[in-house]
Amino acid sequence: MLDLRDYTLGDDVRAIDWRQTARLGRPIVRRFETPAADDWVIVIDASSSMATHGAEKWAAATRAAAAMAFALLDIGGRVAVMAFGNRPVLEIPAGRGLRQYDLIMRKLGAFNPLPSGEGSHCASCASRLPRSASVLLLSDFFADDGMVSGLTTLRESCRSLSAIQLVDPRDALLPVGEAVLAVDAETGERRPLKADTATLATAAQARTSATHRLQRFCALQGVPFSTWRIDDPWQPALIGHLRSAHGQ
Amino acid sequence: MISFSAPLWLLGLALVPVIYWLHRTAVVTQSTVLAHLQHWPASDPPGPANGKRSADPAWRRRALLTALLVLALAGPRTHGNGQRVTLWVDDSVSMLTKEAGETRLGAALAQAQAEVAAASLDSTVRTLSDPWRDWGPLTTTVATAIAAQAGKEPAKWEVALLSQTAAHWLVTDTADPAVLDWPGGKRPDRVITAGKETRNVGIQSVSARRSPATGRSLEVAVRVTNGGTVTESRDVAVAALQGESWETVARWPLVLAAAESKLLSASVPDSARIAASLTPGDALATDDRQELDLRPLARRGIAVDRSCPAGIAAAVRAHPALELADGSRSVAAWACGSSTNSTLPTIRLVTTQPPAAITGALQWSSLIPGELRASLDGAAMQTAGTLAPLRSADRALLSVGGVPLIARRGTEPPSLEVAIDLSAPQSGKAAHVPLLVNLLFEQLLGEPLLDAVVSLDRGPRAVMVTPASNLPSPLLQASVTAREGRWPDPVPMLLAVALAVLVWELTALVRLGRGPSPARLDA
Repeated sequence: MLDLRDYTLGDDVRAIDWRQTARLGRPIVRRFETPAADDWVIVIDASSSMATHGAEKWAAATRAAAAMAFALLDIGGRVAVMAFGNRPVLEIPAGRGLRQYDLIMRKLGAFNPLPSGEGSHCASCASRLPRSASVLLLSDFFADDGMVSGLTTLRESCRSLSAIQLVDPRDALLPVGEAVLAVDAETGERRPLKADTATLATAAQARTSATHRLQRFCALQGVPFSTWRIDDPWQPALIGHLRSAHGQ
Repeated sequence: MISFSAPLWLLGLALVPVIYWLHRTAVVTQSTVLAHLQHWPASDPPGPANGKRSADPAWRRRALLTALLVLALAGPRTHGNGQRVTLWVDDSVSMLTKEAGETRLGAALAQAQAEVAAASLDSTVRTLSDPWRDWGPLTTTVATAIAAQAGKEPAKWEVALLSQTAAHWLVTDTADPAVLDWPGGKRPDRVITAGKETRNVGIQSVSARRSPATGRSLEVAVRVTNGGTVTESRDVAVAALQGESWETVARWPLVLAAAESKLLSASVPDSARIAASLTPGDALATDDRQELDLRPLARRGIAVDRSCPAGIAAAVRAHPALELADGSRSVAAWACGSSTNSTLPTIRLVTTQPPAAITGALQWSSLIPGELRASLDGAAMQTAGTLAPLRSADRALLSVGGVPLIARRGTEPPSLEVAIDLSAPQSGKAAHVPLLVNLLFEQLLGEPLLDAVVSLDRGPRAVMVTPASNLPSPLLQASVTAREGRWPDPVPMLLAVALAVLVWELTALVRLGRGPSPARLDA
């Protein structure tokens, strides 16, 4: 049994919990685990690239994860949450109900990704995923291979996989006219950059090309994929992603 | 031209390459953490293999700011600190007077050059003989060039040449007071004077003409003028060029009072060139000797056909500007009968009928001068033939009753046809034949042949060298300031640009501190 709720028209009378009905004085029905409410694992990228620009990508990812978890828990699903860097850095075991939601919120709120040195190896979570689970991956997908290999591993380790790319426009910006020493948040690689208009345009083009490659890869693998610009509201992005996933 | 009041500050421009070097070699302390460095192009390949690093673009505005401030501190003064002066140089003959081993012109230009340099003025030079030419700033080269072409009298010029944005200084010896009378009643702002010499005797003019009496000698006139302030004695000599050497052909001792002028004349042998000279010489050597080219007075060779009446050859031989010559030395020909020489201007005598008296009044063309018409008596002349009908390009010079007796044919070379009898005995003795011959050759050659004169007249001012003594003293003061020119003081402009660059730099620093601007986020 999942939990209890008020009876509504159309509920199976066999599901009425008579003891609770007698105690509360109104019809209460039991909610059971159903095949439609599978195990869900929300996997969040907690690499250092998610911590740039005030870790707003991480904050946006936790908001989306919380919303998704609430929705899944509300329909009786079992939800687990994992966060990864070079390895799994946060793991919230699967659970149901509002208590699970409270746990998820508490643990995600207490976690902060490392600002530097933490890579993006989502494949490290694959061994901990239930094979029957559906996985939602939230990441900026900043990795040398665009996390393609990690996606492949995850896809083979679960029942279904969908992915949302978080996009922060500031990742492609620098103050024009300055020479800066650029440092890669994940690898620590340093390189002097001349931030002129051409350089900015090249960076924006490179990011767009990487996203397109990722989209093509996910389409081939049957992985629903969408992008979310984090300065846009999360609700339309999440609903849109679910709609596209349902369409597939 | 740009000068600097404190040029040592320009050493500060050496900071510009230093700033560039510092921006190339200094460690970039401004670091930025990027989410994914691989998306950014490698704009500065690291490593010793390449060895070159591009400088921070910010070095440009910092170097510009430094350069502007250094230039402002150096105190640039464009075009003489904005003050301009036009030097009007009197380059007449009197400025060539030598005093203390130097001409007045050279001394005056040197003084003007020194004053212009001392006051840091922007100068431009014009000469009174050619005021329309702008010689540019007064330099040693310009002074030398002006001295080389000096010796010409002032020209008349317009007030429009006086720039409103410049002061006008006159460089002169004031020997000719007229140089102070500028057009439009203007006066120079300053006069730089040169010269103290007050003694000069010069040859004002030389002229010559062929003697009408003999036709073989020349009549020469020489005017000598005392342009100084005391009585002078000179020997005046006229020399004629005989072959390769000069031979003195006339000499006069002469005493001239101050400002007195005398005309001397003499008959000298035929020559291609004569020279008049004064001894002893004086400070102005230019007017102590004058040469005159007499080639314009040379006799014109005329080839007379042997079949022509003897009176024609006699008239040519007697003419002071003509002489009989064979075909190679002749400039014109007289043809009789059928023989013609088409390569020379030719007069052709037409004799197609027996001589007959002219009946009727002579009708002269307007091309014939009145005095020549009056000297020819029609009653003494006879017709000798009938001219061919005139064509459109032909012109009748003399007609009787509508029948042409002398006609100009529209041919090339020009030719005249004459139907007047010049062979009758009485005609050779008559006065009209030489006159008619002169008339015909003047018409044929297109120039007057009698009373041709060559002369060299330098005018009475050319020998005046005495400086004026009554110039207004303000004109001689060196403290006369030039007028403000059109060039503004560049220092405030440099400082304004430097301030703009500083604001630019500060804006960039603020943007650097804030990170990317919101406007860029939308890009």
